[in-house]
Amino acid sequence: MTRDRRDAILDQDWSAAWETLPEAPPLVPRPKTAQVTLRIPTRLLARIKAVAAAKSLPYHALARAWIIDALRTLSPPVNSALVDEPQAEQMNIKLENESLDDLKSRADELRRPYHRLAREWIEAALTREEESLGIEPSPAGRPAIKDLMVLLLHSQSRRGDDAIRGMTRLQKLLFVVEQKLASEHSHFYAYNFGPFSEEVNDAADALRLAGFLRGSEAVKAQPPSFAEMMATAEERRGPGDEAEAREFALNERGHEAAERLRQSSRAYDQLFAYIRQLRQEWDSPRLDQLVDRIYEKWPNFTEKSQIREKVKSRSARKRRS
Amino acid sequence: MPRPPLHHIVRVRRSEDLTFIRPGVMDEIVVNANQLENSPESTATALRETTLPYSIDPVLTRFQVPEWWKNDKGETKRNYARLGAAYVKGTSIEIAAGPLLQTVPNDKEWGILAANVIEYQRNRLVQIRPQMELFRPELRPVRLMAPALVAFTDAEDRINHLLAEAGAEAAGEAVALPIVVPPDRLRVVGELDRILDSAPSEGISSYFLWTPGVTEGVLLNDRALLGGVLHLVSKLAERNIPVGHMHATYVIAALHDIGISAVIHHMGWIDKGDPADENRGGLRSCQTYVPGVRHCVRFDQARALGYSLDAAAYLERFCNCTFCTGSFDAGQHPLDLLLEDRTVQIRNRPDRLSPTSRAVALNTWHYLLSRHQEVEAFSDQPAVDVLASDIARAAALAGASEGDLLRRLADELHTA
Repeated sequence: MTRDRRDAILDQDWSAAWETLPEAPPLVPRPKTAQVTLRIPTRLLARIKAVAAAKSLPYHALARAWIIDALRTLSPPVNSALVDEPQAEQMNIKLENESLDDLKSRADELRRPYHRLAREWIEAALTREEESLGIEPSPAGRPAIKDLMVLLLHSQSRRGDDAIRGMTRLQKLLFVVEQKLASEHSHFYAYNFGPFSEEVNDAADALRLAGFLRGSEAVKAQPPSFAEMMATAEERRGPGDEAEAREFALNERGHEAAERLRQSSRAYDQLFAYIRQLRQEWDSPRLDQLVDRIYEKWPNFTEKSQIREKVKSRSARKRRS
Repeated sequence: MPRPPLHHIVRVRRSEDLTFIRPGVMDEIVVNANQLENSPESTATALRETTLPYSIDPVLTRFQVPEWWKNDKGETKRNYARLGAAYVKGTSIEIAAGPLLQTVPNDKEWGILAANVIEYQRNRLVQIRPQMELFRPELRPVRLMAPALVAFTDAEDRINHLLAEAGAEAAGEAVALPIVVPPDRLRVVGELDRILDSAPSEGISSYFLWTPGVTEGVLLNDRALLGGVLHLVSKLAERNIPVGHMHATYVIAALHDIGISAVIHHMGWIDKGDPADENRGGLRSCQTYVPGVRHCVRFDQARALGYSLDAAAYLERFCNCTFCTGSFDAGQHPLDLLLEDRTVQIRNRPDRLSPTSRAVALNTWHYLLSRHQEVEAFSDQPAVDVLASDIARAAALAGASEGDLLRRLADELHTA
């Protein structure tokens, strides 16, 4: 640069241009110290989790990204389709202080509570993502217990075990899956030992009769041989005579059927991913741990339980210790 | 004219029964609608896998008396609630609010109810998706059954007539018609004729009799009751419409010559006379079916009758079903398996013996196979010949007195 040119730049009045310059980014980002706590319907949370699983992202991070995106694009408010549903779940979203400030000022401009605005933006973004990913809000409307059971048995517990020991554990795990999926009409109801559905027993029988469970063969279209008659008798030995728990596990044919089901649609693939995650989270080694968690989380399904008080005092003891 | 073969139909009353439905042991299945509501998925799976023809018994009688559809706590069972809801769709009927005769307000609603019952049989299993398999054939019943009530009085006769006609009209084809006669009316020929008069023949493909509460022992020891059954069967057979029995025994199969063409029985071998109310279950008693005497006996009696026999004598006198034959071939006495029991502790009561689960399953096979042999025998030969052979067999196994009841039946058939 020549001396004349340098002098010309220095002599120029830069005050107007200064105002138009973008703000320099901070050298060190401000900590994400702010948090917004949203109350949302169970069904909405389940859908967020399903989309997050499809994108292999943590669902909190995904929800935060949707809020920030809505702030950046100055999204308008959207009326919620789930306005009548009870907001039974809680979601804590960490935001940078500035983002929270922006959310509040945008909510103020739109004359809406900022929690509501954030929830509406999340719901709108969720619907868009579901459409682009081809995920139905609930696969086939309401997944049959039989399908949920097949996918549950196709997954593994945290111990790497695919077998589920005992009808009680199978009942309770499917109850958790169904509640987390937040079906509008539950297959389960409050019964003598907490949540129960006879559809679980029926589905397990169906899998056994179809020859999908370990130790079972499909019912045949030929007269039974002596060996087959003995096999049906041996299959039943145990539950009626000893305290031994029945084991539910898919055999090779069952896993093949489960894989076909999983691959039958994107929605089922996502459903499987979600069920696998739930099993890791809930299939605890001890049955009483699973039962106690369920009694605590879904007390309305324990109203008729004969062991309600026992479970309550056991949980209280655990908390004290 | 050659006699039509005797058709063997087995009733599915509970989920455990589904394991035992197999060709070669029966010709057809009838599923109780309350059981179907309890286990639709497993029932559909079993029917698809076995490929056996099936029909559905709508069990409308269960809604006739409150005790027949309630559980021990006095609540309506969930499967009955679902079934009832399907039956009263589009009506003002509160099906579990009281006895059915009092809760259906008019004939029009009886007609809608009949149409709903037909629709239920036709479509209930079609709604069940195959088990992760594609291109499986749809499940369609081989016959549709008109709904019917236990014919306690003329009032039920009138409704039954109406239900039969409305059922046939809704089906658009001839339907099977249950005729359910309580013991009081079964004794009186005049009452039977009134029932017969009220049973239409137009639009009817077959009749299915049932006499709730009448055990085989009672039937053979009460000439009036046996006479009533013979009267009903022979009069209906005169209409040239097939006659079956909804809860048949050996005695009913023996009536093939006078008009019975199908027998239905469930998988329980202890004869309780099949009352119209729901079986309450309870601890199983230690009894096994002994084909040699054509009734069930206690385990200790069965041991006394069968253990001392060598394999050849056992197969000739006690039982030669595929299970018993196979057991000997496998080097094991069948009674070791059939009579296996265990002690059950009951609070504040003395311990009891009950069959093991394995013995229950094997007794079920043994019973079904034995019944199938009986049906085949009556299907192939005149009843008097079958009875003569069975009387000799019973006498050889358990003494001359065991043949007395069968002899009485043979006498009645001879007279008839």
